[in-house]
Amino acid sequence: MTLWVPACVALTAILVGCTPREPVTDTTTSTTAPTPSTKAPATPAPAGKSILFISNANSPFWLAVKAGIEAGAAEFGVPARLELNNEGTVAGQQKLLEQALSQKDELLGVAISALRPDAQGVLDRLKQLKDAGVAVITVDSDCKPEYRQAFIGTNNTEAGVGLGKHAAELLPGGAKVCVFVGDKSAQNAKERQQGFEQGAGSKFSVLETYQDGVEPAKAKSNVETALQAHPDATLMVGLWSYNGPAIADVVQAQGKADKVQVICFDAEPGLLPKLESGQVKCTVVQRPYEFGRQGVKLLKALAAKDQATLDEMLKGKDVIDTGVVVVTQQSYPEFRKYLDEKGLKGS
Amino acid sequence: MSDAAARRRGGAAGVLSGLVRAREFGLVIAIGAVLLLLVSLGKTQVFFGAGNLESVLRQIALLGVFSLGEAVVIIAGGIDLSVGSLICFSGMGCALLLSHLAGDLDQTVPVPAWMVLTTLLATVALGALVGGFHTLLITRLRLPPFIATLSTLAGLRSGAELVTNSATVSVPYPNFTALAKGLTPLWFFIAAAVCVAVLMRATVTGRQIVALGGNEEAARLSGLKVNRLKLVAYGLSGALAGLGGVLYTAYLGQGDPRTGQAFELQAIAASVVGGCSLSGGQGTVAGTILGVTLLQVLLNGIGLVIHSNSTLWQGVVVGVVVVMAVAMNAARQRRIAAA
Repeated sequence: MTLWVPACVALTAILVGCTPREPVTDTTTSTTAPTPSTKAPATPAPAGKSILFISNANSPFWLAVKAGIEAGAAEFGVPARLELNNEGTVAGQQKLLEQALSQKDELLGVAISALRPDAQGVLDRLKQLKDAGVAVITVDSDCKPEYRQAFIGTNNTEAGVGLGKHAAELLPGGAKVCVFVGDKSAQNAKERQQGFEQGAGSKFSVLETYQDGVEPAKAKSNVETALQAHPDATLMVGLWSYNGPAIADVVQAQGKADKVQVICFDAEPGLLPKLESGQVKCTVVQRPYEFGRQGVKLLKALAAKDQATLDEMLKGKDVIDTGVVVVTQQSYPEFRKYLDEKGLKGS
Repeated sequence: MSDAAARRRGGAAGVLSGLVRAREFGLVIAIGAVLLLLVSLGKTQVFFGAGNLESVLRQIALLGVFSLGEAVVIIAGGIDLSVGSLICFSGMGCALLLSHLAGDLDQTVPVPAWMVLTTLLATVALGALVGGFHTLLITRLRLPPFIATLSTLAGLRSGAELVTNSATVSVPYPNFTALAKGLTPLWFFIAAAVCVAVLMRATVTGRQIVALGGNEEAARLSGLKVNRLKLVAYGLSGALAGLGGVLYTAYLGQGDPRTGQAFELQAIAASVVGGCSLSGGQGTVAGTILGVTLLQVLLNGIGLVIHSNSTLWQGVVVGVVVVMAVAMNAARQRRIAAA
């Protein structure tokens, strides 16, 4: 029996030794020390204080945000890190905010992607942070405006409209649609779907919206079920980042690629070859890299009450819309070039 | 009167009586009832269509592989809460190892078969080692199985994320993903089921595992090597979770740290529905297979019949089925005790 201990240690060591072929950056406790910047920071950050980002869940989408945070940390001269809400729940976010509150004296600012816009526990803690002098913004997904100083992200409804319009161009006669998402009650899911239906028009009817609870295997089996339950569906829409590749995989495997079109949001690494080959007709991509980079810049400016920077970024509003890009097979090379320039594997 | 006693009465009537009294018979009836309901709702062609049937059988195989291991642990009087996280952890290990072995090979062409085989065996071994680790925690540190496996439920998923920095690891090599294409997973499930059935029914170790689950103290006093039996049970559960990790990685074409969430609950549900008693000492491989089949046929059927919020209804129905199965099992045990 005692042989199990060294055996476990040895096998774990082997496992750890097998790093991914393409190394990725750490997202769990990312940089706290800025690397030398190519641009001189406008104002030095107060010594020892840092910026904290809190995700809504854990997905490769946040790798791009983290790359932007690192770039922002280097560019604007302030340590910044990302904490992933691995639980993917409001309670998980609340816990991370409580940790932030216990370290409030070391924080310049906090940026959070709110899972629910009206989750009172989260909102209360954001207020406590604000009252303690910590700058608070939302990125990616907004909360009630009175609890944060600004929001950086995308108008998900408009993004949905963009995808819907593209669907209408792709299938001018309309289509019966199945929609796939992790949690359809999440704010960005609701807005994306509403926008899609609005943009696609009355010739498109949604047959069913499938939820998978952010479980990749369930995401695929949902598509298998949908293809059987709705043989008349000719369009499949993935609302969250992993849904697009899952749909494309199943549609291809079941030999229905000529009958069923696939469109989605975001661009996980697994989606890129499918986009390039035309298996996925189009995706609407946000700019998560900018969420991170501009988030660092804005929080630093809010903490330092740097009015010039705030005016330049916010232009008298409290929302920065970083916009979206519709990527198709035709525009893929340009999008790939953007990813390569930023050192990203997805977006 | 027990099933064995009924069979001992002899003759065809006795055999028939034994079959009807067997706890698996109720599951066969339940599966038949679900299928009849689908037929009556006009879903015959869709359900029995080649595409759907293949999908259902694949889902049965994927859930079944690790449910078998969970069932053995439950029969042995324990519980393994780490199964979902172990599938995630071993799946990431599988993807990392295959990716490492393949190096810069083109991902769209098959890798040498030895790489796939090595990865498969190493991942199963990794799972078995984690099972061995559970046994150490339970037998040496005297931790309750619930706590020992709860610790790895949390630890293994975080470990998988740390090793890969929360990124997915892509392994779309055609001969690797073929492990989860078509009915291939079903063959793995059948092979695993045969091995576990032989272990539990035709070996002394299997009978001793049942005895251990029935009364650990009595088993110890009877001279059974309790620690060794626990090692077999948890090691087998870990190995089958490792195999599950390989199959899910092949199914997804990538190692994904989000995989396997709450899979342990599905495995426990399948085992309990299949007749395993959470107090140990009861349960069969056939029952577990039928439990898995009933759950997956139900899940698929709901998806085909209910066209609004079907994924939410799936949770509700599975919950009801688990409660009914446990209640019926308890009633059956009361009847046996009273006889």
